[in-house]
Amino acid sequence: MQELFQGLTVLLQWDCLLALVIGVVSGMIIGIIPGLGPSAGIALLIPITFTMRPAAALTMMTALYAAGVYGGSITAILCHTPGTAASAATAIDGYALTKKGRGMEAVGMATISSVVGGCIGAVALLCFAPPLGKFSMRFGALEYFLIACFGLLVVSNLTGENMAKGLFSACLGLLIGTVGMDPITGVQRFTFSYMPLEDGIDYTPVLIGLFSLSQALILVENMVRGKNTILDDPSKGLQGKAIPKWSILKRTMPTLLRSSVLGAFIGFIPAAGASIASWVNYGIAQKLSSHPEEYGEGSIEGIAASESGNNAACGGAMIPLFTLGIPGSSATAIMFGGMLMHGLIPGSKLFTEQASATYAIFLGFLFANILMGIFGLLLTKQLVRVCQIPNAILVPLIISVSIIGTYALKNSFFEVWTMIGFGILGYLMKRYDFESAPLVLGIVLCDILESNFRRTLILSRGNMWTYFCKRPVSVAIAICILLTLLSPVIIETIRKKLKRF
Amino acid sequence: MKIHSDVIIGVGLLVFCGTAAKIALKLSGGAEVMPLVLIVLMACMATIIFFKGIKNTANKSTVKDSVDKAVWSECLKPINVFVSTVIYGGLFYWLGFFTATLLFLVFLFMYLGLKNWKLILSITVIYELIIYALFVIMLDVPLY
Repeated sequence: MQELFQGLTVLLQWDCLLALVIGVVSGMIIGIIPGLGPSAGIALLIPITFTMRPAAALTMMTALYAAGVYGGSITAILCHTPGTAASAATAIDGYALTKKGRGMEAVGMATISSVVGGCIGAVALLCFAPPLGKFSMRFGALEYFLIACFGLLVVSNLTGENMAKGLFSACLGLLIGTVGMDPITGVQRFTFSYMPLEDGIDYTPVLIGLFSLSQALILVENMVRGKNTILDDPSKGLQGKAIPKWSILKRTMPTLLRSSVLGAFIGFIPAAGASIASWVNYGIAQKLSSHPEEYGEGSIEGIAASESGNNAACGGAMIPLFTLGIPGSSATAIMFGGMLMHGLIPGSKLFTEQASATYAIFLGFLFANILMGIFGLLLTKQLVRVCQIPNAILVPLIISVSIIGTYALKNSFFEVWTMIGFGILGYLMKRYDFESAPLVLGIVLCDILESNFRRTLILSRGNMWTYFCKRPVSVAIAICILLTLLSPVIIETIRKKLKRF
Repeated sequence: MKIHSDVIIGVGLLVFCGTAAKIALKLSGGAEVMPLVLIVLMACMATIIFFKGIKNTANKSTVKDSVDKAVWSECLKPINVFVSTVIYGGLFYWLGFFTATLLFLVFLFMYLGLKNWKLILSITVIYELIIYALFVIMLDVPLY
């Protein structure tokens, strides 16, 4: 408790508070631009923080991280253009609500969900960092493989009406993920001796192409049919309020809390990240929902699940970073560099000798989530007006921002051409009823799935079953996977038994 | 006879799977296992899509003719926008972002039906200023 009060004293000094505000605002702006994301933002902040105190510098970085993940959801909802991979799941239901004129409700729910998820992630960080940090060391190749399988479960919910086409997309995504160097043997796969392909295909240009550029082409097609704005019925205008009704909040609260806890757990697994957390939570929410048919057509619960999950994962990702020096995501990997630069060495010293700075950073992360929510709710009404802009203005700007955002990733035209190629693929997929979400998920999960499966085969020395039984964490994850698969059957059985009584 | 588009798509996907399998079979050392498993699964899905297309062809009420004029007329404008995006990418490489964007935005605004010159130029100028401030000054991305 004493360390907490010391941390609060440090945080309430003007330089930390200013850093907090700058981090939140810049995070939201960077998150909105497709292709940039919190990783790029934190990398850019590091030189700026040279002259700052460690507490202020890291508070700015953690604030940018939280706000950047949230910022990506705004364009995901309003323009079907996720700013980050973590917001791709939100785009599915968020954009459907925007077309119905309920964009304000969608952005409002995304904001509140991000705040709730972020705060729960912050509480996990404050209260459980040291013991959870030790627990994360027990995750090995088999556990990572099972987590990736858990993520693949979500695919079955994303296949749309035509399961064969959805599964084809998922397999295509996994196949695209194999492009590049084989993780175990180093053999070049599908590179055709072209050097840029040796590093594989980055999922960010794929995401921007499939979601953003293809959507711009769909908007042009809608213009041919006489629909000149995003809204299905412009005469109805914008409906709903930024702050959801109490009845909706009450209905979504179990989803929010469950997704936040699960998101924080997934976040603290090194290399899992916010994007996996958001997809897993979206899939589980759909399986457990009493209205699963609403998912994909504008489900507020779907937005709540993915947004609370991805922001909670941010807090979770910082647990192994601060306790063991193992980054939980790509953004925290860059933050690690910032920590070392400011003399904060991960380990027990951070919680003893440097406790005041550490707890100031953790509290700063908590306050950043709250501040992000306040800014988000205040700006919602203005932001949502984007969907009233004519497509003739919106389409060229979306295309140009997609190109510049993709180019800014690595200052390379290869990513731009990749994005354009996947843009036309995404357009054709939408025309012929192939879902693009499974393809993105396949690319994200492929490396974790394949490399960890093959490592497990090597480590188990041909005796997979014995190896699996000796690892209690793997057994627990496998039970969770089975329960998730069987949950619709279990819930239906319980409902029938309750009806008899 | 009108055929359902899934028949053509199914055949196209099977050809893709065959080509990918031919490339994957040349790999060795265990690197070929995952791609081959995925290609086999994709071929199964493509076969299902093909047979569903045959079934839908027989059911005349669900047929979408892949060469129907109405369908192609809807696609023409998006395809033209896509081609202009490809040209934009090329111009970005040769002329730099700002010149390419100026030409692209003015052309596309006019192509999509915007006729107010003041609006076209003001949006283009404001947009380029924002991009310059954000990417060149703040993020130090070389756009020239």
